[in-house]
Amino acid sequence: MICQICHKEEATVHFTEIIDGKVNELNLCKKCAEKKGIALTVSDAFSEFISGMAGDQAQTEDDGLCCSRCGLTFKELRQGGRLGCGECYTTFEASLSALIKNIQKGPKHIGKSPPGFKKEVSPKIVPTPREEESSKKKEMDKEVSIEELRAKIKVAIAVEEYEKAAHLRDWIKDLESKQHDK
Amino acid sequence: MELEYLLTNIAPWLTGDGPEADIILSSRIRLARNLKGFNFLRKTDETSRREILGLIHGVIDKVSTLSGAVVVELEGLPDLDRLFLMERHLISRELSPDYQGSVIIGHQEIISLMINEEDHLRIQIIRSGMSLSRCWDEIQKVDAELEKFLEYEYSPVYGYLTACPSNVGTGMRASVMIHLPALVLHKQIDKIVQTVGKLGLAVRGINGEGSQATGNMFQISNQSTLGKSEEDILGDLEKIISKIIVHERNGRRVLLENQLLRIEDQIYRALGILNNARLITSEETIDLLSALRMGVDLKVLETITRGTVNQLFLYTQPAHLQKLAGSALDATKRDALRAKLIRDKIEKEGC
Repeated sequence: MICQICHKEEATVHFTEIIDGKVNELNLCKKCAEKKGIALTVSDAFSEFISGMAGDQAQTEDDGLCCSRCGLTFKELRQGGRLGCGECYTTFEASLSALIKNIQKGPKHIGKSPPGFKKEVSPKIVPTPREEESSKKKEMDKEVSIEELRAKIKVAIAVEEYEKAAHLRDWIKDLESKQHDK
Repeated sequence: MELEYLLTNIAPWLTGDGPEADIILSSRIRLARNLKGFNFLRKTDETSRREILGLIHGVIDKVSTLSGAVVVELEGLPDLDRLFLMERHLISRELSPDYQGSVIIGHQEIISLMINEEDHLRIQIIRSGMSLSRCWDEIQKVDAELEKFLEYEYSPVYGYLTACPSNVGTGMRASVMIHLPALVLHKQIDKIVQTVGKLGLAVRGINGEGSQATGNMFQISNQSTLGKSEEDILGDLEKIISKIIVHERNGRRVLLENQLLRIEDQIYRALGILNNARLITSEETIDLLSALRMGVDLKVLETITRGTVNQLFLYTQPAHLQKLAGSALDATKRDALRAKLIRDKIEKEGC
């Protein structure tokens, strides 16, 4: 879809304005939307993030990729900021994982799952025991945990739960020193 | 489908009841889901969108939490009705007739389902006051019931797959509508907005995305949907909101103790205009109703109820006025009807 104002750029901001009770839909490019003073939504910001990934290693790898199921190209993904199907998560994984890391709390789903899938639960906020963790998978989980814990610290400090924040800080130190020892 | 029945329904999220209802107007949770075996919306054709619509419409009768629900398809729906549903928070502006969009409105408008929006299915619960836990309990039940009949796109790594990766994982966006007149008056609001933003939450103006704050009303929601469980996302959101509530309460107490006359003046001036205006724009209305609500919440005005103010916020919006009038109205006629509606409503309350 082309921007309705400049008729040049791809429209990535979709906006409805109401004048005299008439619903007017506007599909604008980022520049024209900004000129009109329309703030970007979370999703739009995400689109911006995707299209702004020039020169990135992962992006270069994905350039020219096309989803085998829905036919979405990487160019389309960059322009529209939306995926075409569930398979796109695998097709564009290299780019997506970098983006997801930036906007999400962690790289892996924790929480509710459909029947038949095991529910993943969040780590409990208690000092971790100093146990041996040898397998590679556990090593990855630990890296995830540090990021999660840092996010939790921010929240704990904001809501003035200093004791919890201190626990979390110790926990991170513990995990970090283990990683350093390896 | 005639939508007039909604006009007389006082949706429970408008009643002004519930925990912390003097500061929190409403709580809302939505879940994004996509049907397995179908492309996401931008890569679907009309045939598959109709199939998606048929599949979801087909299971509604089997879902007990949706008994008595009403289906409204957007194709052929007048613009005014679409705007009316948007004002009632039942649909988003993204739900389009061009994509065979449809909304299923549950009993009393507590539960609603949007079909063929950005994702195939968006489930929503909205309630009055600080009710995120209650909303979560209820939406889980709807989700679980639907999941018995519908299979969703799901990956053990990324969770529920969504068209935009900013929704992936839990697919959950939880938000509250919060009224912060004291923090605005004390000029602390920018600081609060900045801090909340840094903690991974989004703050927006009263009209949701893409608009500025009007009437000292803000929507606060979680930004990230992946890497934390639904309970943790909600728990963090609730903790931060409860801190904001404390700050707002402190701000209100200071106003009452140190600047009572100034605040009373502002509240009674607002009441004076609302009680006497013959033409009033929706923008002015929202700002004055914010002052009126502060008057009710601070117990300066005791004859008006919070529910009345909440209803006025909704019923003075353009599509609601035109639905009430039963015909399209130009801007001046709307301003006149809005002024009359407010006068009548306030007079009924004995002010």
